[in-house]
Amino acid sequence: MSNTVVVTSGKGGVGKTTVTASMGFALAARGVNTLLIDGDVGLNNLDVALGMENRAAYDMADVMTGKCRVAQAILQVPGYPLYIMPSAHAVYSEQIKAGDFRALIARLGGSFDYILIDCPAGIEGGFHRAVSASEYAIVVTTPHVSAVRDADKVITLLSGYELRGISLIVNRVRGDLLARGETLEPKEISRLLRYPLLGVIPEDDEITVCSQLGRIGMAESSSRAAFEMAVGNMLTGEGRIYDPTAKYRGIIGALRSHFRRRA
Amino acid sequence: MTDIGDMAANRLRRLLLSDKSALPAGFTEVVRREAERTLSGYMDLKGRVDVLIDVDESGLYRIEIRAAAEGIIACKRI
Repeated sequence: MSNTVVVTSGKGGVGKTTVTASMGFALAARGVNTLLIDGDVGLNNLDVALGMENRAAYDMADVMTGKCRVAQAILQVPGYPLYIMPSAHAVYSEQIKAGDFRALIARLGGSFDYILIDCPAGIEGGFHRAVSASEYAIVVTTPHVSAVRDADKVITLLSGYELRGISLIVNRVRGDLLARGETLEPKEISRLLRYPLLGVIPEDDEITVCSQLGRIGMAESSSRAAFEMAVGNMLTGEGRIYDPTAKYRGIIGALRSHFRRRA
Repeated sequence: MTDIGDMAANRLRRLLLSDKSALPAGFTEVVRREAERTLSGYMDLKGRVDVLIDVDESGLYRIEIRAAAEGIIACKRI
């Protein structure tokens, strides 16, 4: 039986799809058999982030309507035990019923160690469909007041489901601002939302570039280490959180921070 | 120097509390009437019962009921 984790946020644009894909790569890099499911029916982007958009012949809706076998709608990311089931792009979100989605996840459960579901933004039907099929939830936010406020609303909704755990990822944290005390601290966000931090991911230009090129798992920067720590926490409860301020400490760090601010 | 992070955290804290204390319209009035009905069974109330519902920093609801009474009905019966 696999662990099914929904990656959700509330506010759009906080990097949910990027987090889903990057966590998937970090899990697969540890040899964990992982399936990523795009729960954003009609507005699918997970396949694009992974550069798999041209390889998908079938999708989730085709499986549900019996047009293909489950295995035909699952693509493997070359070189990793990482798989993706693309979302249905030719149907409306309402056409995918929550019960059918849960049944599909239950069928897939025996074949993977982890299933990560990229939840649609907002708190509409797509949210319910993705969450009701999951055992755990990761709430992604950025250190911005509006994003944290929406994360709080989502957490209130999540508490109505029978989830085994909820944790937070604070994404796109600027180390220079954090070092100068000019942004919300991830630990403070966790304290206010009353759920534990799974990870802190630094703002990273390389992730943006790789995402545009469909090579999200290829980023060799600080965010990669941050995702590896988050995955370590998920698998073993290591409790290691990436410190985005590290490279902005000391004389060199202060200069780096100064020039970043000027830029 | 002003700590912008602290200011943002305080602002966020106030917003989250405000969101949590945003009870459905008319909710406080329903509680107030219920409290008035219950208390008036035991006391001769003087004036209106007031109910204040707030949320503290830990997320707990704090309910304050204010009322004045001229006598206790139960004691009169005894």
